[in-house]
Amino acid sequence: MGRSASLLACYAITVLVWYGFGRVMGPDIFPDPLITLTAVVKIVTNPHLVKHLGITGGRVVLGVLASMAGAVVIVILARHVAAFRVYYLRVFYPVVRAIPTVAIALLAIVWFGLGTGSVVFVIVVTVMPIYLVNLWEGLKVIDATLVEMAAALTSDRARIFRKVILPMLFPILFSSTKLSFSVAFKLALVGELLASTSGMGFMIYIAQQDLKTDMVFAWTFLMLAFVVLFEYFVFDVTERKYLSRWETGA
Amino acid sequence: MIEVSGLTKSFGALRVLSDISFRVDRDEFVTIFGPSGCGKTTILRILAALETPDAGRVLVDGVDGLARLDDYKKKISIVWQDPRLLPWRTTLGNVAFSLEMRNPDLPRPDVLGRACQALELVGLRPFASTLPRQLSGGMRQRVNLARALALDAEIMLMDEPLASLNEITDKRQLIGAIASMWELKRKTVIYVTHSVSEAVSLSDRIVVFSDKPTRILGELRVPVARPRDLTSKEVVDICNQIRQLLGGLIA
Repeated sequence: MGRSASLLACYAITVLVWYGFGRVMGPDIFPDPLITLTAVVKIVTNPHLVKHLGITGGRVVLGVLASMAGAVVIVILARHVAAFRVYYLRVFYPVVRAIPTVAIALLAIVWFGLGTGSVVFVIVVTVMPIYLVNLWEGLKVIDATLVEMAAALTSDRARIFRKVILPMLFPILFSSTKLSFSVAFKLALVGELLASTSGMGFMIYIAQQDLKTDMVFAWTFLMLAFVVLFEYFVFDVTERKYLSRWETGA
Repeated sequence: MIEVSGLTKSFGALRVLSDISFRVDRDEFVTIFGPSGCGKTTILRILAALETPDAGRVLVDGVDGLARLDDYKKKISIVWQDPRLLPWRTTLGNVAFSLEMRNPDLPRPDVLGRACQALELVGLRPFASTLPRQLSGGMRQRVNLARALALDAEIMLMDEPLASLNEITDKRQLIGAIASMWELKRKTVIYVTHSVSEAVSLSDRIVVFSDKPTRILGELRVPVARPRDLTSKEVVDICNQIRQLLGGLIA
């Protein structure tokens, strides 16, 4: 059996098992694939509902980018400013890593009110440790000889950072982003459920309140589809097209 | 003209250089020659402003280079012992990199034009869009040379550029590329090596250093037209003089 045939068989078995559960447990408890698909069509054909996909997607991208930018600044500062390094290692990193997501979400409502600010804040605080730990370790192993080569050409440290250090960190930033993205999506749903009146998380909450289990399934299915498609069309393509350049072949 | 005077450098308790002085005339190809670990690379790193000497000065046309670092750096290009190529950039991108770093205001077509010319000089123009990992060791070193050439700096510092090469053909090709570059461009070159054959193949003058504590044992002129036949009597005589100066420190 070929690879695509095996994959197709796996999907078919999953759908069949799902269908079986749906028939046994009933549509109010476990909607089968056909009922879920009908609900998905209802969402994607209704502009008022589709906008919530965009809202959540936008919050995820914003949150991940803010986490990355914040982590880059913090790690660079910690590497170069001795006093901040002590604070970072002893206080900032352990605290940020340990704060529970629910506590962050509840505090975000107090600080930012219901909406995008709170959801993005939840993503930033929870996802940033992924970048912090990877960048911290990554900076230890960057090729110092390349930095020296660049330093012999210019004294402009910002240019050296932009042209040499940042590209060297690209594989680390890429793998961290890949990992952060699916985590951020889950966090966005929790954040929207608790601290927002829009987005997929809020719509799942509304559907659950109205006992529309088919809509809960449909929104979850759409979220999964979003993550999988992003993984394939953004991450996999970037990896195939650009990341192989970073292999030294040594 | 470069005038090095009283260069002294220690790393902790280890004194590497002690009161080293020598001069290099404009457009001269001078080799700093000595046994491994004698401090040749330290001298070159000081000349490249990558190390600060404990004492001493480097005067370029009478101006203290190390005191006016930004102006001084612009006069220098370096060919490193290992190629130090950016793995994510193509061959052309790596050569263009030196210009992007040193002259950020240079228009892109000029950057690419000069990078292409430098690649042409080292015979790698057909490999412009190749990534470093797809090149042989010798080709990577020629990109290293092209990156320095593209800068068109007054002074070229070369730190044992053949040391990382294993293949004899790669070494011959790189020696050929350096010799023809010098014939064409007539830069002031300071070349560091512990290989007698490299020194006599390329240099106008060879400054011979002792093992630690490092001091200058002598200077030899190589008044032989290039390309040089290493088996000719004149060249063999110079090789023997170098060996005599070192008194058995090298083979």
